[in-house]
Amino acid sequence: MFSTPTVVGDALFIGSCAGTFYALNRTTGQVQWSYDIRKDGKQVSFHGDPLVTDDLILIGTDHSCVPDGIGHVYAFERDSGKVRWKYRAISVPTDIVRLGSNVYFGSFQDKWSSLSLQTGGLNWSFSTGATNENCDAIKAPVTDKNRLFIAGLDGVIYALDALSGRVTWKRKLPAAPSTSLALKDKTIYVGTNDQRIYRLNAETGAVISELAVDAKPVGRLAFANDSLFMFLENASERVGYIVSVDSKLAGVRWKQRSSPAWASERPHLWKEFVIAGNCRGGIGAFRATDGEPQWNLSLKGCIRSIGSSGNMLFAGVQEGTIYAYELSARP
Amino acid sequence: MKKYPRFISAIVLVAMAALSCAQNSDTRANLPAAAGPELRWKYEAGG
Repeated sequence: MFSTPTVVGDALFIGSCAGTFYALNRTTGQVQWSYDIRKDGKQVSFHGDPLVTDDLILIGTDHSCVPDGIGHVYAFERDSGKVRWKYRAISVPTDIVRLGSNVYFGSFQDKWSSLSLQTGGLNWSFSTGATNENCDAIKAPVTDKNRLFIAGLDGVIYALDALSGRVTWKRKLPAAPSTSLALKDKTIYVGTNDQRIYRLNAETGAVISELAVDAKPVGRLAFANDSLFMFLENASERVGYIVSVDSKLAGVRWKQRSSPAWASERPHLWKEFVIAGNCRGGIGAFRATDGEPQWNLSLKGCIRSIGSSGNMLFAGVQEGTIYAYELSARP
Repeated sequence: MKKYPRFISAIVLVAMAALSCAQNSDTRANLPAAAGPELRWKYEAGG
């Protein structure tokens, strides 16, 4: 799996589907440095997004749910690729998120951990106790000023005290979360398997509002101003949607149907566009304000991750190619 | 008798043209409204 292409300065950081983490020159595609994680054990994937600090880039690795697979959190020095520290785990398929001097991640085993950013030492771990027989994807956590919010495989949303790992509150909704959590203005957003979107008070977990939608929300959520963008999927009919929803969940602003369903992790916001990719190599751009189709690109393979920086758009394709496009300056 | 096949052919042609127009109309509806970005480079990282 490709992690989301992440640009810092001149470097584009991306983890490939074949077990190598790259720093590429963003304008030329030349390799600045790379690191093959397979030399550290049975691991090949980068399912989560990296964390960028002043001098480091942190990324989690895994080998899906293979019984003897392993994972790590790597802290690479951004300029050289030198490993500052690495923390071995069973799997690290989530984003690495930061709160102050600590970082946080989850595993396929629904075990959530906190490490010291400085040393990679373990602060605490928390397990929901749920099993993962189907090897379901683990949803990325989010943090606010003092808490870590997670969607457990037990269908419960937890707020954990970031320093101790103790449960501050937990909330079980009528159906299990089907999207990652998103946090905006002290409000948690999440889509659920019963085709609904919820807003929860981040302080208490109380439901503020909810909205029924036409299909199951999937992937990750994206915000722009007071709009929330997400993918919906009707797997039985092989149909997907990209939708814009009012951030108070008062209603759907626009909706665009697609077949096949979108395969990229989330609607990617770039300039005035919302961008999505599918497994037939198609990338579509929609005007964020009204959903009007703007332009299409045709690549080869299944588009899993999309990133951007300035006028450049990057896409990682499951078959192993990283594409870089540039939007010409307009007259 | 020979006029009928021509008449039928004309109807078929008109029907095909109508269908063709409908397809063109759909295609126009899907045409990009703005110029998209251009490929600058690609890197084969291996699948």
